[in-house]
Amino acid sequence: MTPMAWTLMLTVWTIITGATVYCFYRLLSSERSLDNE
Amino acid sequence: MSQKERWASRLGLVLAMAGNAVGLGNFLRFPAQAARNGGGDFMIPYILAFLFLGLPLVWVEWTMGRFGGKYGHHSTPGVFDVMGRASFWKYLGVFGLWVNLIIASYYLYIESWTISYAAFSLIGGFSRTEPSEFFAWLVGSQDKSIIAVSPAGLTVFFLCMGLNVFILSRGLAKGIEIVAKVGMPILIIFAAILALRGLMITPENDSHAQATALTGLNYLWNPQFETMHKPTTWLAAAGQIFFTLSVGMGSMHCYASYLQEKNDIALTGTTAAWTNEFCEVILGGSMLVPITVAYMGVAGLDLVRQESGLGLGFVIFPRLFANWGALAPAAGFMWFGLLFFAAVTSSLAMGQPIMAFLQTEFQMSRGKSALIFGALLLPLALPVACFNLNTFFTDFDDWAGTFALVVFATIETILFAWVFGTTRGWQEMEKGAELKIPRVFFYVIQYVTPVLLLVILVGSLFEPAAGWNGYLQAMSDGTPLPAWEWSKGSIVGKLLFYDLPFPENGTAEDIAYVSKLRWTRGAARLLLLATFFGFVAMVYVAWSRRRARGEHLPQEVLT
Repeated sequence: MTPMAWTLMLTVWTIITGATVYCFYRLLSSERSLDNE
Repeated sequence: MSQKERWASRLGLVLAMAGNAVGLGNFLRFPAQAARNGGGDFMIPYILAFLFLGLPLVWVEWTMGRFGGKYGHHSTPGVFDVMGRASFWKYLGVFGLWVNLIIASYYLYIESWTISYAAFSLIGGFSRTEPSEFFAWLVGSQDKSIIAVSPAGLTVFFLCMGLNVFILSRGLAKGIEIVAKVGMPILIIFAAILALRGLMITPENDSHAQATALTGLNYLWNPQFETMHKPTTWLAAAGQIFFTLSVGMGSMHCYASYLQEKNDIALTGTTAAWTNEFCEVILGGSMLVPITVAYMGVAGLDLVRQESGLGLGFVIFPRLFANWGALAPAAGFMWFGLLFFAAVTSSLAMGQPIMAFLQTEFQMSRGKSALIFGALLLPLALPVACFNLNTFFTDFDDWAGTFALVVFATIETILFAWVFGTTRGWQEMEKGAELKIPRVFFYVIQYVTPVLLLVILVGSLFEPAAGWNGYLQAMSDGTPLPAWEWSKGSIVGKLLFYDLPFPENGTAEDIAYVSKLRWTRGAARLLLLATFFGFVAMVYVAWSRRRARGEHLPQEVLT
C-alpha cells in the first residue's frame, strides 16, 4: 500500500472508530434512560 | 385492541436502528460502488456526504418520528399529517408504507438465500457444487425463461417470511429489540474474523493467491485525484450514503416515534449512524475487494467493478472461500450468517411501519397486524420468487428501492425545513438532547440537504448515455455536446425499457423473449401502482373514521 493510501485509510478509520466509541461511551455512561428501562 | 409499544432500553434502540441501517448494501453495494468510482477518490466525497447529507437526514427523520409519536402516530401518513397541517401531506406519507412493503417483498427473498447459503456452506456443499449451480437451483432457471420457480427456494422464502412475521408479532421490546441485541454483535464478530483472515492473504502464505489482500485495500484507499473532480463520483458517494443509512423509507420515523419528548434523539441517532459507518467502511471495506483482488488479481478488480453486489456475494465469494481449505465451511457460514443478520434487522424495520399503521390507525392487535403484513406481502413476494429476476425483482428495486427513496426523502426534507420550519424543527430536535448539534447544521438542513437531494433526484431521473461528465467537459472545452441519448440506468431510460433492448440481429426467439420481459415488467409496474393506491385508500378510510370519531388535529399543531 502506498503511504497516501495508509494515511487516508487510517485517518478515516480513526475518525469513524473514534466517533462510534465516543457516542457509545456517552450513551452507556449516561444516567438518563428511557422511562421504562 | 392494539398494545402499547415501547423500547426496553436505549442500547436496544440504538442496535435496532443501526440494524435497520446496516444491511446487505454495507457489505455488497459499498465496496462495488467504491471500486467503480475510483477507490480512494470515492472516499473523500463519501465522508463529506455522510456529514452533510446523511447525518442531517438521520436527525430530521428521528425528530419527525418522535414528534409524530407524541400525537399517537407511528407511521409516516400520520407523522406527515401532524407536521404538514394540510390534508394532502398524509397521502404523500403513503410512500413510507409502500416503499417498505415493496422492498420487503424482494429483500426477504435475498434474506432467504442467505439462510440457504449459510446452511449449504456449513455442510461443505461448495466443495462439491459450484456456487452458480447452487444459485440456479435456489432461484430457478433464469436462462431465457420468464417463469423461474424453485420449490426449495420458495420453501425457504416462505419460512423466512414466517420468521419475520413471527418476530414482528412479538412486538418491539420482545421481538425486534432482542433480534438486534443478538444479531448485531454476531454480525460484527463474524465480519471482524473474516476481515482479519482475509487481510492476511499473501502469495507467500497462500498458494492460491495472486496478490496480497493489501493490494485490494490499496486500490480502495489510494487517492488518484483522477475521478474526484467528476460529478458522477460525488453523485455515487451521496447515493451510497443515502442508501446505506436507510433514510427515505419511513422506518426510522417509525422506530423513533416510540420515544417520548424528553428522550434524547441527537446522541442516540448519531450513535446509530456512526455504527453503520463502522460496519460499512471498516468491516465492509475490508472483505469483498481485498479478498477478491488477492485471489483473482487485476481480473478481480474488474469483476468487482462490473458485477452486481449480489453476483459477487453469492456467486464469486463462496468460490474464493474454497481456497481456505478446512476453514472454508466456517468462512462461508460466517459470511452468509452476517449477511442474514444484516438483512433480518433491516427487513424487520420494513415490516414495523406497516404493523404500526395497522395498529394505530385501524386499532388492530399486534398479532393480527403481523398476519396482515404477511398477507399483504404475499401477492408481491410470489411474482418476485416465481418470475425471472430481471422482471419483478429488478423493477421493484428500481422503482421502490432506488427512485422512490430519493423522492420520499426530498418530500420529507421540504416538509421539515420549509413547511414545518427549520426553527421549530431545530427546537424539537434539541428537546432532551444529550449531544449539542453544531448550529451550522441548521443551515445545512435548510439549504444544503434539500439541494443535494434534488441533485440526486435529477441525476437519477435524467442521465445522458454519454454521462454528465462528457457534457460538462464539452461545455468547459467549448466543443460540441455529445448527441443526446437516455442512459439505460436513468429512471427515464428504465421507463422506456432502454435497459432491455431488442437484440440486433437476434433470432425471433430472442426478440420474443425480450418482448415477454418487457410485458412482465409492465405487469410489475401495474402491481406497484395498485399497491400504492391501495395504501392511499387505506389512509383515506382511516382518516374518515378518525373524523367520524370526532378526532381532529390538536390545536397546538394547527397554530
